[in-house]
Amino acid sequence: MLKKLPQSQLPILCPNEECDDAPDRLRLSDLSESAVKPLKTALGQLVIVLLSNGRPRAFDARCPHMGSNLVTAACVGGDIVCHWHGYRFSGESGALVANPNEAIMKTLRVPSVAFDPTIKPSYQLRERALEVEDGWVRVK
Amino acid sequence: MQHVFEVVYELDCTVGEAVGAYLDVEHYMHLHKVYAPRYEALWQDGTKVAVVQTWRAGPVRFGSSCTTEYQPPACFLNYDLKPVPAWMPSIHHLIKTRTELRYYPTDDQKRTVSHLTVKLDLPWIMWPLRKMIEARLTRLKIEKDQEDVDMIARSQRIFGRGNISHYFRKDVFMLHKDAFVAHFGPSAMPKDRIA
Repeated sequence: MLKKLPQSQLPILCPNEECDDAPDRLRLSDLSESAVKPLKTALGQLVIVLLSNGRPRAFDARCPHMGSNLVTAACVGGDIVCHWHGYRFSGESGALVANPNEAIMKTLRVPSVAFDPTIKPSYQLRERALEVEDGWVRVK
Repeated sequence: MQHVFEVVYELDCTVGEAVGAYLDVEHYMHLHKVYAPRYEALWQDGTKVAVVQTWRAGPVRFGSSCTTEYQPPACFLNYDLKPVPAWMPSIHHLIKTRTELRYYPTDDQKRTVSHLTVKLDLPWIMWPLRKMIEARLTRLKIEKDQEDVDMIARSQRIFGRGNISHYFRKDVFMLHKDAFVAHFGPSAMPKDRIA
């Protein structure tokens, strides 16, 4: 049986400070199809993606699944891939397009009292309207 | 020859948050991709799950398999660690590793103690290396926990400290979810939860 330790001298594993050095404005030429770019606005932190047609899209930088900061998300084929759970959101609409874990965890994803694999979640990134003026990307 | 060591520290979260993060298996391959780029479950039998974690080096995929066991509400065992593929030269042919991780509330009920006990069965020839192995395993544990702590801290900022209701949605998958909900869910006994 595990004994409880005296706790007066135990170290505490502290969280790292979340990075908050996003720029408050971006040039269209700063954007790339292979990475999301953070943007600090009055609406909060956003992520900007550049679609293959050259148009940018802006979304709140908060994953609707578990709340991760999408500033660290990957951008793959125009989709935003959350780095916490790998959920993939359309860069066009912000809708959840794939949960790669459904295939990876197939053996384990069996129905139970608390879990129903037949329910398809409808997570959606919150989109913000953008305009491009003189080469600068601005949130409306 | 057996070498036993412990890695003990506090996490600034509730026991429910720590257990939730542990059982939230969907993040292993993504948030912890440096440590487990590929995670595959072989079988599940009650609270036991056999998993394979592999890495790719050129054309070869290598890694290890182990059995993990959840003992609700907040104890996790890992054992039967074997190299994958089995013919691959590996330290796991020589060392038998068994770990036991327990989460329990601090005396003031404000945080959670993460208490890992590692038992290594070593051949005598590896006995002089035991401290080096201990240091590497300790560092690995802290690095992975740091990623979870950052995830928990952000969840606390968004959902509120101790709020783990996002795990209870029926579409959210996690290991041993029924047992987790029974112990930490809305209708759980208060003794299993901390402020």
